[in-house]
Amino acid sequence: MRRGEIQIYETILVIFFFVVIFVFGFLFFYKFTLEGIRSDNLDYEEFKSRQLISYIPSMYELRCSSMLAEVECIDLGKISGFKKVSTAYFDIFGYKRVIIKEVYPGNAQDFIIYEKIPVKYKSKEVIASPLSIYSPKDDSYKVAKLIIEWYH
Amino acid sequence: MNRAQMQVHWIFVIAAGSLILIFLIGFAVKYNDLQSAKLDADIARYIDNAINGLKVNEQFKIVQLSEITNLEFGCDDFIVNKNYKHRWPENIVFAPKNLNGDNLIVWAKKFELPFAIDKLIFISEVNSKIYLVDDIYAREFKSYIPSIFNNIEVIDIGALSNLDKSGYKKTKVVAFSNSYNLNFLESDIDIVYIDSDDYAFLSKDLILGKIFSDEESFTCSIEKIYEKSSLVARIYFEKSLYLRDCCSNYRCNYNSISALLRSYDNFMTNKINNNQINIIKEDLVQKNEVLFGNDCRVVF
Repeated sequence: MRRGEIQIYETILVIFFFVVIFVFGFLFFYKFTLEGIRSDNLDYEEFKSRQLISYIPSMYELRCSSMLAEVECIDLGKISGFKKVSTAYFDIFGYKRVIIKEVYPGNAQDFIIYEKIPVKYKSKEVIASPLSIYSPKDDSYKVAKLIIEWYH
Repeated sequence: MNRAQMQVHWIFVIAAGSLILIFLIGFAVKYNDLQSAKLDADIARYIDNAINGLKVNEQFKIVQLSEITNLEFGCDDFIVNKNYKHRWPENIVFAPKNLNGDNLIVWAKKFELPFAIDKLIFISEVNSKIYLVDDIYAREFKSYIPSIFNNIEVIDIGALSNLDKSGYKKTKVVAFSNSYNLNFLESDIDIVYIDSDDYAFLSKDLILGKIFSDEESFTCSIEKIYEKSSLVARIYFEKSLYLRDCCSNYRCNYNSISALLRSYDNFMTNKINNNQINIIKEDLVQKNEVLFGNDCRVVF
């Protein structure tokens, strides 16, 4: 083999190793960037779920009202109606389960106001917040918990 | 190495080097695109969060963006810098189709028909000027709008001929009568006529919607209002049945208000004329007041 040919093979080898190292570096970088984006998305989803827990009690579809004046509570009289139209709220709630759980006094009753569980999910997270509920049946206010189960 | 071999060697090095360079440039360009898409997504989320925060209570505020941003509002979404589409179909937004700036003025206002339906979102930009041609209606509507919207001004028709557009990226003139002749205005000024039929149209909030939005955005938001009103009416219909089952007696009869709520839902679903909706709206308020007067649980 002549000296010139050896130099060409040397150059090819150097370029080959350079390309291999570069491709590996690129793949690692791509993977880390993708993980970063996924983690950002998850953080955002979590933030949205936390935002939802303060948004739900202010929704006119569930909030107490009397003679067009609003009261800071959830109206149990609206829950069955809301459940019937809840599929229209997928854009707001997404894949979640929203429950109102009576805490005090009386029997701890659960009211599922929204339920859309994905077929496959990796994990479930639960966030809760206290709230007041009004029962028109016995004209009484009760303490309850708003629970959001979030699937991802 | 002889001369021919040297030439082959250099051609090979230049070709390989060029390929690597092209790859590196391509990667840098893609990375830059990715970073700008990320930045646009952050801006979109920031706007979404700010507006959702305002929706919890009826409020208004200036949303300051980190940089001058182009926003294109669609029916169920908005596009940031023609690059990132952010969906928010749950919001009823009245905004111009295009906004360019870094200071958005946002107002979340409760919409009732007659019961509370949703918060309407009105969006404007500090550098977009809206003139209301001076008359009794213009002054009335200006008084409804929070003072934070200092880009909205009542102007005398005579003053429109020497309009100073400097400092504003966009100018819109709103006239509360078709009788005003605004043909003399420059072509880049948007002109909106709100005719007398509109005054009876559902509620004054929708007139505000016309002031803030473009035709396309307005039509879409009206559709959403019909859908949302129908949903809320269905919830109140179910509540009236619940009250009928639990709490009706010789004084408290929920049958008539249930029937009215059903008709209201039908009218909203089929978008039957607005006058009939206004009649039902008044009937509903009256029936609810009767229940209240008879010491019954009210529906809304």
